[in-house]
Amino acid sequence: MTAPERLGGFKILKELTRISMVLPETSGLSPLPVCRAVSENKINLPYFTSVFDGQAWGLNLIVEARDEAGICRVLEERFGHPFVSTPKSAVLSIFPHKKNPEITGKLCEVFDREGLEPDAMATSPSTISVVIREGILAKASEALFEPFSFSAYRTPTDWKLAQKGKEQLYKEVVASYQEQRPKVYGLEYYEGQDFIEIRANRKILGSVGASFRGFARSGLSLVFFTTSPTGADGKDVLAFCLPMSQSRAYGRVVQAIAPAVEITGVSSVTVFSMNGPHFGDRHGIASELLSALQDHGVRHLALSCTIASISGVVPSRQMKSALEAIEERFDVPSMTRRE
Amino acid sequence: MSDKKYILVVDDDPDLVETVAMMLESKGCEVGMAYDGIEGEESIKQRRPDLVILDIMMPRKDGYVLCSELKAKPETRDIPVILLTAVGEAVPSTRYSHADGMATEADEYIPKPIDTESLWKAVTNLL
Repeated sequence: MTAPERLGGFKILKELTRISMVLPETSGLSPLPVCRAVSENKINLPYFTSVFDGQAWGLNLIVEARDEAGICRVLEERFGHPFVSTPKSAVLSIFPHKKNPEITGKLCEVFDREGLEPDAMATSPSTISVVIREGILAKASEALFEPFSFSAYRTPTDWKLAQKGKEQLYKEVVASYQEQRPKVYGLEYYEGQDFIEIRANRKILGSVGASFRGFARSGLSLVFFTTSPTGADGKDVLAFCLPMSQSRAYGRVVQAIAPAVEITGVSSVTVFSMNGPHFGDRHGIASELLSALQDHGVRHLALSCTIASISGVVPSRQMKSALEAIEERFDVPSMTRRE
Repeated sequence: MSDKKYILVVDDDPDLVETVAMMLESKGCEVGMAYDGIEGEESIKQRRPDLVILDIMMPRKDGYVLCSELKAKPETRDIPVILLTAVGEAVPSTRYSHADGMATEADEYIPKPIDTESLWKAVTNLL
């Protein structure tokens, strides 16, 4: 039996509602008006993902339970487009993953072994977040302690105790951060990536985990990963980025699960990530980014907002415009190109 | 034996820890990461850092308490500490004000949102 992988910690957000939507390109709808409407109603999105699969945008929006009625009303009145609302959801996040696909792979495998079905997953630069039903939260939290150990919290109870008494102060701090031009700590970007989308049933989570561990054995870094709804029951799009230069190495691994899934890809994309103070607690950040990208004619392929970060995937030819757009709307002290 | 400076970053925002760690590594530092005051304290016991970058509002043990403890012990008193705070002066009702921070004898006090280049300047001034 292998020793648990030592990680820093985990976070749990509870009393949430997940809203999933699929916006076919033919509908004329896109993620921006949805995010803008949510922002105008001062509804925060602690987790948001948007993925284009070639035909439609798949969106996962997570809101606090108290905002459920508000967001449902906004979506019905403004768009009249179908969406699925899943109350009593939670987001379980572990960190740091160090962009090591081994960690994401182990997480997928342990969920599969325990029969736990995530509703959505996404990474930030440091964290892997899993959206699950509150009903399986306790089992999922316990399950983490099989493949991982956490230096900060030895049990889920430790974590709960550590959070007590800080809620009001955090609210005051977040309220002090609704500046006109949001500040970010820094932006990093990775060029020369391939964007890969796998359309698959959630039941293959274990195989996906094994594939990610295969990427790790090939020495690959996973700088972007998210899942997205397809509208088909039980099927998701798993979207991730891997280095183009290593396409032979990852191609073999992906092909190993090919019989069961549909794979598509876009070659030569750039992944950017930026994080800012309390981005996960403030409304309007994703909307601001999408608006900036649209104004500069940039069409993102995928976006993932979780914890305090936004990560996005854009075609390489639009990288310069995307960075200009971000710099125009956000206060960015530094942009760093990563290998 | 490495002559790289070893810097410990302690903050409960894992994405910020990652951002700061990547910046420091790109400048040739070795970086340790911890996600609350107690973990930071344990990390310092295991390996003495050349400098600590310490968030203030954290679960279990906040940055003020840890900084005060470090500065009270002869064996850790001379480790430079940079305090980071998301509060600044915007939420004066808390005990996390600039004046409170200075009372901990921290070597530098930087309000968030930080600019990583300014943070690096503060690091180099203290090393």
